Amino acid sequence: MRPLAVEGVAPDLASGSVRATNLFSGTSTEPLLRVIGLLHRGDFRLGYAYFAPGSKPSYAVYAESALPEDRRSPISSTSAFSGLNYALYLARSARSVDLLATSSQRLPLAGRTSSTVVPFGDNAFDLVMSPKAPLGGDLAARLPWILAVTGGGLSLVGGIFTERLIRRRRDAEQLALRLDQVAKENERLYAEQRDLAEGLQHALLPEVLPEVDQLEIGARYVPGVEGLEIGGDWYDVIAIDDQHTLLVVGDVSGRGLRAATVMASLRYTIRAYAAQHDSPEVIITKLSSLMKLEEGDRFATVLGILIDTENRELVIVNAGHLPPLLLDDSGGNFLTTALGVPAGILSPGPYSAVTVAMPAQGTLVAYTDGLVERRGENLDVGLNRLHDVAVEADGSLDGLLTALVSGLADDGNNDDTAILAVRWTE
Amino acid sequence: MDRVESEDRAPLAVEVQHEPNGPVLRLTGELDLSSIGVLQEALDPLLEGKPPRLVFDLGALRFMDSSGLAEVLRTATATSVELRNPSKIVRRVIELTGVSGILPIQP
Repeated sequence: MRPLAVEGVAPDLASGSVRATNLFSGTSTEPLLRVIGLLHRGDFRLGYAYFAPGSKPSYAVYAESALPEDRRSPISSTSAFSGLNYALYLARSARSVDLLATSSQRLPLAGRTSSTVVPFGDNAFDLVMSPKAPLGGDLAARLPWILAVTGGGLSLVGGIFTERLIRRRRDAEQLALRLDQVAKENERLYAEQRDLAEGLQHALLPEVLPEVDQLEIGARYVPGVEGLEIGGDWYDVIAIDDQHTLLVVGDVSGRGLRAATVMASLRYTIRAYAAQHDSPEVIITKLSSLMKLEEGDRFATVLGILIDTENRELVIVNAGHLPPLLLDDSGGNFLTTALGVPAGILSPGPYSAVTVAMPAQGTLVAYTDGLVERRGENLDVGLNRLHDVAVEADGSLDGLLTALVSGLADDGNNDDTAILAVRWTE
Repeated sequence: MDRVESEDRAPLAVEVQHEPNGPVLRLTGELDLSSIGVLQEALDPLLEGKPPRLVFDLGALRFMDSSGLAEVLRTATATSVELRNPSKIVRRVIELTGVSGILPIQP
């Protein structure tokens, strides 16, 4: 093993060390983001590497991120989260040896703590938070914030590390360009960067959809062909109680880590509001005000569909999103919703809900615009195409989703696409 | 692999005219993810001048996707935005996102 190119300050990890040699010990053939661990020679650094599998000779891009001095990073007193202490650990351990950063002088955090784990490469970050003072009566009011910062903050952490890695790779690659023998690797690396973006995106989307009594639910996510960057499309399924399940499909404007971070924070925020039994129109209204405040120039189209399994009804709220398609025995119809503006915009009007009966043989399809939007084409043409493909694809829910992906999303489309479909099991 | 393809595929031209109460941006071609940077480059210096109003003349814009619309909306957070002459295709995007209710469209 030998270094090809080094950018920036010299890494702490010595190239002949056991840890470095172990880098190449795995047998994985998948592109892999592997966390090497915490390094402590003077300052604290987090080491991680991105592997190009199958290449001969095999090589990895290795990077180190400096952690805050003494791993202490207080929350500013003017921040909305100044009432919280946090500790960020590597791996699912909350051991002091794996500490990455904290706002507190004393660990482990005392009192009532909440913790969240977010996958990062072959490892994970564990964020533990606790209120500095008893939260008292307004705990419920603050919980959504706690969840939003937990989810959003963590995915940001993952994002920052990954972004640095990509930048390092670009730098290393520029050097490598001068070396003829490595130039051929270049094209493959772009594909792998895309895999990395996809991997992060998948980490931000639900791993497994919840099992809901009486409902069959399926989802697909298809990255666009220009998928070097992550998109802001998402879907979510939230089982609220025995009678109610909330489906969400949304699309944050723009691309890249920022869009993905906003997406993750919206996802967690919606979950938090749903958990306190807010109605869909209240959830979207709150979300819109929150976004306006927090995100400035970002917007999101959001479709919220509350399924009432007892009354077999759908309560639909639409913030600037394309209409869902309802398929039944007689064909398919795009549902008419009370269309509100995208969330996070100017002065959002109050959002209102429409209630639609979900027929026994009905299938509901919600999607993001990547499924129907094509260059130089009227959106109605794309909507008709979706209708025709969906109506033709009778059979299982899985078959329907596969037909939509192969017929509509896989045709050299630039944009990301998320699709969520639901029907009754009986 | 050279990364110029987004420029190759950015058939968008932005022409700025200055009217007494603010700039008018005349967009020609297609506004989507690959050409959004062209619009941003034209917009950013204009918005620094804090104009009271900004007009997008969309008469010669053949196509606009949701990322294009998001850029228009971003502008609307900074100044009062008016849309002119959207074609059928462009108008449909504005309608289907509910934005027609909040931005004035002429005619």
